[in-house]
Amino acid sequence: MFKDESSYSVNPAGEWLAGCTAEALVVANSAPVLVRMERYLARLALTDAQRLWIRGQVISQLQGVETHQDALYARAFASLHQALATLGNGDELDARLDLSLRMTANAAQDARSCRWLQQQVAPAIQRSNMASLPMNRSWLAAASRLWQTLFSRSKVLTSRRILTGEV
Amino acid sequence: MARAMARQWETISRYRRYWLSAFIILPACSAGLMLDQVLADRLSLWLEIPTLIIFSMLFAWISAGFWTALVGFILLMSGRTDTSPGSPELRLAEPLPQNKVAILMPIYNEEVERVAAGLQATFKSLQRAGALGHFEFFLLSDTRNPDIWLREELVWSALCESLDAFGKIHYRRRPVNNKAKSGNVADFCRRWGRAYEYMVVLDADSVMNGETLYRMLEMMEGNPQVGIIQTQPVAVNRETLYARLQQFAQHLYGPIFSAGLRFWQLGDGHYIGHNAILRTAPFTEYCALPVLPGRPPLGGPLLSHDFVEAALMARNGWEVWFVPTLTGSYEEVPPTLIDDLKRDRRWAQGNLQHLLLLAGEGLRSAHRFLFINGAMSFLAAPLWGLFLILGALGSLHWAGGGNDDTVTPFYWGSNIDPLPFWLFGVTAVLLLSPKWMAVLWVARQPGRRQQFGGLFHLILSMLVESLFSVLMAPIRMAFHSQFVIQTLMGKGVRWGAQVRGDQETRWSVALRFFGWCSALGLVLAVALYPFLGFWHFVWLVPILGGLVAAVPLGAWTSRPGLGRWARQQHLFVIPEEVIVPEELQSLDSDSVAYLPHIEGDAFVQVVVDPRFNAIHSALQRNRTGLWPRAASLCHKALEQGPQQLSNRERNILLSDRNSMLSLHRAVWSMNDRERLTAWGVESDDQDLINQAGQ
Repeated sequence: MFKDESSYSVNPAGEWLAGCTAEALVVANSAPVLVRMERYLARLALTDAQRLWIRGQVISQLQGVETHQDALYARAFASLHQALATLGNGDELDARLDLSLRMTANAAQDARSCRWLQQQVAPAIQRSNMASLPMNRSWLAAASRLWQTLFSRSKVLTSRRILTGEV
Repeated sequence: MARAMARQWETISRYRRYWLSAFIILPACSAGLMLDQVLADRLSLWLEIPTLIIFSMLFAWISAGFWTALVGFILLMSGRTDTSPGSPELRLAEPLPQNKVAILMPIYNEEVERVAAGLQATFKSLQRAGALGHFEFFLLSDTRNPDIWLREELVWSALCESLDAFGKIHYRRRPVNNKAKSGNVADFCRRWGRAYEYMVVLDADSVMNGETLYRMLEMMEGNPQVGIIQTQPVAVNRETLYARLQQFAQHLYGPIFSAGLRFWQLGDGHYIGHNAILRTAPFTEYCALPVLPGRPPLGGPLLSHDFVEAALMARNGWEVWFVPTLTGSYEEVPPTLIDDLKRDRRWAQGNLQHLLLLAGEGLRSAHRFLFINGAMSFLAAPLWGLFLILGALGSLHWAGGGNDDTVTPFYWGSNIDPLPFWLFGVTAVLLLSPKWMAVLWVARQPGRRQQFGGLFHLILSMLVESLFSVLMAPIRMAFHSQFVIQTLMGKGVRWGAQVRGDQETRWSVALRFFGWCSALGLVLAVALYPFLGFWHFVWLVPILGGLVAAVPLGAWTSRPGLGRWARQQHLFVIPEEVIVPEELQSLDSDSVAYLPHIEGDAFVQVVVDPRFNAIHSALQRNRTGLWPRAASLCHKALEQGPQQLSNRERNILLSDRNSMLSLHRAVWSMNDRERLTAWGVESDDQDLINQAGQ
């Protein structure tokens, strides 16, 4: 959940110190994890506010988690994607796509970005048949047709078929 | 079935073709009879008859080119373009708003930036012409290489983003490359053809002017009986000496041949597979290509589809017009002799396949002639080779050989008839006069001759180009003969991507490719000289010289530096270099510098980079049928590294959205340094930690 900065300005029950210490501990214990997370975020065109908010979300998710270092990376990355999904109306892939194509205010709003991109890449399919037509390629038949054309009284039709669109 | 009256142009073209046939057959027979007078008493029958037959066939073939050029020359000199009744130029109509044109760009493992630059240039040109509303672009990829496929996708999205062209530029990759380019276009017709009244087919290196495209659309709208309108694309943009020679020749001689060709063909024109507009519905209905009986290379799917598609369109009553007056249509030629010959290898097989369609029912005679002409482009080589062998045998038989002091190049003794020299002269005129006709036509137009670098440089360029043509003719003869023999012996050719960039041929490559030609030339020279004597031998020098010089010719003419030097000397200048059209100006590499550039392994980048991964994954669908196989491949990729995956395995993973998303998450969630290094992630982390430490 997004944490308003104003929440840091008051500390009625002395929770500030405890919260801050917990976050500092997470940062200290998970430095390599957070470095990789920063690296990941740097590849996305995020604003500073978005980046800090995602970072805060990941850190808060990691608080109190005692797990093996291997699982910590997976946990951090899952939290990161969860935060990204929150940015992208519930879908992490849509969020990344919006950031990649800078589509925050594009025409895709009534559809998910992912689906919108699929519609742009190729229009709706309208199937037609396309199959080769039979053609007699025999030389004997060709000779017979030639004979008919040259010598037979029943001439081969020289007129052509009317095309679609022709009057 | 309803039948219509014969069209007016059909009657005109019939008479024109009668004349052309007479002009080809009668002089060929006369030349054959003249040669017969010379040979009758001097050669035995087994040498005489094949010599005469081959000579007459070759004479007929080159005279067809001569008469075409002559007619074109007369038309151009008189300032007329051929506008017979029924010509599509005569009836233009404003396009209906609902009529859409799909501009198809079939690509296969191409250089992506060049394709994007061409598409962008055409798109912007249409935008400037205010005609974009009627047109949509389709990048139809048959690419098999996953690296290139991924680059194509990213370039497509970047192009759409920068041109604000989402929904105007589409991209489709076909996982199965059935029937190569023709299958690619047919696949478009089956999926989307119904939504587009017309389609313009381009090559990967084609560029077209927006106004030209709109004019073609107007012609199609005004002429509902026309199925295909073909433009004459001009060769541009190359820098190697070889390509500049080709470009110059095409620009100088092309117009007269094109005007002549149009004169004979009228509505039974040809289609070269690109830079043309086609009516989609009849193309879909009638132009699916037959699969020939028998096994490849002569049987099976047709390798050269374009001529057959035009023939099938005309067979079903639709007109096919070649309109050479449509300017603003560009293409690129192969940069080197090797690349040109590789393309010829495919064309040779394709054109020989066309002979199996010659007897096809309902085909128009003009298209049967085109099939023969296309096949003769390659069959002429072995026929010429055979003629030379027969000629050499004949001269041995005739002159008795030896070094006779009384013999000179033009006097072979008192008992020798001068007729062969006359025949040689006539043949030379048939071959070379079109070049002079073209020079005369250009020289007559002051503005145009300046576009070729001025009259002096134009003539000098033509002479040097002719010299190169003479030297390269025997090399082509040797290779074309090899291609024909290979095809007839059942050795097929694989579909390969074309080389589009200016790449030099290294000496080692030239030696490997042309070495046998040079060796053949040397062996023939050494073998023939003692038998023929000096002056008889002189006549063979252009042929043997060309063969011997094959290696240096192949290497030197591939040098872009030599091409640029020639340009500085105002040699082989073409009009598009003097006044560069706007659409060609925007082809330079800077115009696409904004496109995303993937460093290193594109597969790794698309798995690791969250932006690339998002774009690629969004374009794929979940292929549940692939999941068991994809899952094991994901494990393999994570355990052993992406380098251990073959292209086929990568293609499987890349085509499934779920696999790509899973791999992306898995890589970023890993904690094994060794494995991460394989994906290029660990080094990044270390860099950042080190920076933080400092």
